Amino acid sequence: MAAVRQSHQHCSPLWALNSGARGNPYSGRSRNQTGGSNTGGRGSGSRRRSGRASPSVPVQLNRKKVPDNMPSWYKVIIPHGGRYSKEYILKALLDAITPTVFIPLNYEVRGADSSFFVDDSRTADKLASVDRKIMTFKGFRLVVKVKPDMPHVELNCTLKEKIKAAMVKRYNAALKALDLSRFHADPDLVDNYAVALFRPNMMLAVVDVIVENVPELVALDLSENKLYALDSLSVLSVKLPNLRVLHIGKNRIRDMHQLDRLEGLCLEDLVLDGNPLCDRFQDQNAYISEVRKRFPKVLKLDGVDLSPPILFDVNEDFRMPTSKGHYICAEDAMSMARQFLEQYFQLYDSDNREQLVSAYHTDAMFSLTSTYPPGQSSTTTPKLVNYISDSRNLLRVKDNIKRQKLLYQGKMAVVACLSKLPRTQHDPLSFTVDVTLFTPQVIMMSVSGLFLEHGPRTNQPLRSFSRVFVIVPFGAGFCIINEQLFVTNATEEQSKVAFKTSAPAAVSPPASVPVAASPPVAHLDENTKQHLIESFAAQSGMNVAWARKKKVKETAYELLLENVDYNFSNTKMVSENFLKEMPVRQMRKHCEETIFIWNVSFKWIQIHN
Amino acid sequence: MEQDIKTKIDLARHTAEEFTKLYYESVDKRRHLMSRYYLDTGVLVWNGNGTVGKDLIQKFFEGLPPTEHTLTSLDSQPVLDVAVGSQLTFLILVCGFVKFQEKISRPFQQNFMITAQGDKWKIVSDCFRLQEPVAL
Repeated sequence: MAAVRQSHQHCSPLWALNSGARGNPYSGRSRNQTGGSNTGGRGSGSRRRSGRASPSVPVQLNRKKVPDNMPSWYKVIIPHGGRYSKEYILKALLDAITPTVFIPLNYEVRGADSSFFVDDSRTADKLASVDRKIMTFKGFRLVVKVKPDMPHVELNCTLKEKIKAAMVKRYNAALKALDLSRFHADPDLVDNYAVALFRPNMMLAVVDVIVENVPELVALDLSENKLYALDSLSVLSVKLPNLRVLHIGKNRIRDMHQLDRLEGLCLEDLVLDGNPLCDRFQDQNAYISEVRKRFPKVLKLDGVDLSPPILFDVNEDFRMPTSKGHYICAEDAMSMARQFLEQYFQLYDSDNREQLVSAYHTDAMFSLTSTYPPGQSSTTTPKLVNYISDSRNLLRVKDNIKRQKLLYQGKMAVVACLSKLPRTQHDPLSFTVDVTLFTPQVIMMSVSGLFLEHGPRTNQPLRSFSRVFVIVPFGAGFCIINEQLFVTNATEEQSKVAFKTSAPAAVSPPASVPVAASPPVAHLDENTKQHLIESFAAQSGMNVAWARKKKVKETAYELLLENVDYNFSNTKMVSENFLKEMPVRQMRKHCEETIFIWNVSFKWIQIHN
Repeated sequence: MEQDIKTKIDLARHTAEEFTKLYYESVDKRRHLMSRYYLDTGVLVWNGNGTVGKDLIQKFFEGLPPTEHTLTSLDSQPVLDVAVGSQLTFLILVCGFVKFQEKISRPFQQNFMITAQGDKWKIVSDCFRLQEPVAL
């Protein structure tokens, strides 16, 4: 971190201004003793702090309107200051309050007046104290008005570029260290812009730049930025896995719990000194212990080496097992599962779910649950109301009669409930399938994945589902005796991969699919296409209109698959022609990946009909 | 008969509540107990990784990163006699979110089949999935 400390100097020779009395848990000072700018800007609106000693300042500024969470920025207004040069005004003020120095932020002339901002209360008090005491060369007494206010800066592209440039300058590539201390006072940003990192949007912009450009960052210095909340930094623990050194001293963090936002970072060197939270500890050990609760590996706190914690010799190196697409407990379960799912979802996605009645046992049971994913609610995401109204969530539904009612019993009741749910189109490529039981008596199978909901409106929400089936042999086939379904919204991550390889028919209207633009089917004439669709529909029992809606290319792939599996002679010739014309490797890959493609066989359902 | 099924449904509900309370507390805080939840031949499928037998399942749990589960929904059904004869067996579906070491909540879904063995409930099948895309 030495380099970070050294590189402090370049940001401004004045940066040491505020290094006066600071909260220091090692100095054993009293509870109420606070120093420097830490006392400034306290509003009267905070009940939490009502018991604390009021700050003593030489000149009482009107601070009543400073909101609780607003750090102390002050606007200094010089009426008629515009009649003098910027340099003259600033030199006159600096001379008057010497030895105190300050950096004027956002100096601007509006009409006859000039104004700028300062970022600490002591400077503001000093400046207020020289009101009408400076005689200008024009023979007037300089009026200096000081009031709590913040510069308002719009975060646009130009500013983002400036911020990035300033950050590049402050980055030490050899040490992978970034010094953002007192960032708002950066000489390159100070003139026109005040980039205040305590503003969440500014901090997020800065964090974005870091995450995008230097994810390998090891050391970060955010000292003296008037930070009071660390919420904007919560992504660091995930995005900057190598971050070991964090200096956030001399800010306005009041509560140790703010550090919870950083939990997960493996910090070894942390500076907190100079934050009000440090004042809360009279006992150094209690302070260290609170820090180590969050960052057990800290070896250096506020620049002081700590004795290394004595840990236990247990293996902490856990690795998450890699997720697998499916688990099939018995070899012969694979083909059964595939066939079952193909048939089930073909009917489920059709216009008539009542056909599914033959898949259920007379006494079958079905129930549905639905909740929003963490962080989502009905206001921000597609509403799940169609599902939640029927959701038998035992954590919510406490009424016993309703609990009984929402457990649908008997195949007619089950299918009636399924038919009531919104129309769907499932993405077979998103499916994960786990067959956990496969005995002559009972089969248990779990399926999860994504589907598009066909609603009356144009926007079709993407849902994530999880289904579990208990299946028993029935006659020469099988039927479902228990089923549970869970529906929720897809996560962002899921949305990115949904329907990636086979675009759903509904979102690619058939009329707008340029057949000629699709090389594999470029030579299909209209008659062949119609013939293909009809024969496919006839063999598969698929609704002709629906078959036509599907992209011809997909239909062709499917026919090809059927051809391989079932020697579907009717289309064999056509398929062979396709084979010659298609980029073979791509097609084979597609066929291999498309494990759960719609099937032509209805044997199973017909048998026990 | 109808009364019988109603009683079973209510018992399934009660058992599911008790079971999930104990199970997730053990997964999160007392992993050494995990093998006791399963039949000798029980199966755990964790994101597609299958483990059969309670001792191997115990081992699998000990290798998982520490967890913190929060449940958002729960549902249960009695498995019909057609499948299991008179063996009292329930189906349980749980949804919620789980934090691993990295402190981010991830949605998950998990289903169980539990059955009465003597005076103890034992897991026949346990299937856990994070709600996330899986590369094929």
